[in-house]
Amino acid sequence: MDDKRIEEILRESCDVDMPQGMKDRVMRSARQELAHHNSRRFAPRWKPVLVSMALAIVLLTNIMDGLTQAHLTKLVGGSSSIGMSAPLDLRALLRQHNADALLAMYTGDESTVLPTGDESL
Amino acid sequence: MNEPDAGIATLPGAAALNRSRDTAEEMLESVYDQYAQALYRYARFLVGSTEDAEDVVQEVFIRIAREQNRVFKIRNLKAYLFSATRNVAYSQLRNRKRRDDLSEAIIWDLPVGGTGKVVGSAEALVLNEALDELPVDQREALALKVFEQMTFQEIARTVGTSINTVSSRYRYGIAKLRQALEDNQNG
Repeated sequence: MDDKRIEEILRESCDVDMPQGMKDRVMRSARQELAHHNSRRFAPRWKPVLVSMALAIVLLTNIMDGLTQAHLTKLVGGSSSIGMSAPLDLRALLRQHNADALLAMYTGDESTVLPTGDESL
Repeated sequence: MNEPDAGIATLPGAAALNRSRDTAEEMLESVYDQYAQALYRYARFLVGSTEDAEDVVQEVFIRIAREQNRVFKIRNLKAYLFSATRNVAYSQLRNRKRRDDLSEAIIWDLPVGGTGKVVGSAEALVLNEALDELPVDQREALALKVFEQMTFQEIARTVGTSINTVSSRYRYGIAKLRQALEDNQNG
């Protein structure tokens, strides 16, 4: 028996049709993957935009905060030094004032103003 | 034996996909209509059962959908598809081997009833049994040569081995089938 005859029998015996409904099943899975792939493809494009927007919001908030702080400091007449808020600044001054007063009491220095006792600030 | 290089890119039916014309979905549909039957047959030769062959083809098309941008650029789509089918089928065989601790011998689905042509001749049955006994690489060489009419060079490119190896696999495969048929004829 020659090769050609064997090939012929092989072709006759093993040539199968695809199962019914196979195209629908295969194409449905492929379409699902296509849709999934497309949605994933857009995600990396949006990522840098979202990160930039978040950074811009943080920056804007900081600037606004700084401006508000400067304005408040100006209103209470305190130090406008960056990094120390007005209430903190005032509280430090008060503590210094009270410390001076207490020292004056012990040393008998009458020129020093007595402590106010007001620590609420 | 080396066959003349027919040039795999010039294979009949090699699809030239037109990106501007085809959407991804149209491309998938067109590839399916053109190649699904051949890929299914090839997969069935490798994995044995019709259900597993369908799974293999399905996985191949999922991969095409995933790599749609690459697929549009492929010049030799036929070779790409057969290679992809081969990779998926081998991966499935490995998984099956791990799962069921089966050897490469597979349970061959005889094409009977709704899914295939009814093959009743004694020769065909003997051939199917003999195919069952062949190593998967010999079955593969036979499938690509007999059904896809590929040259040994094209088969070698598709399976990623040398022409001589492919040629040997084909010869061994044919020899074993011939032996089985002759044994059957001689009683």
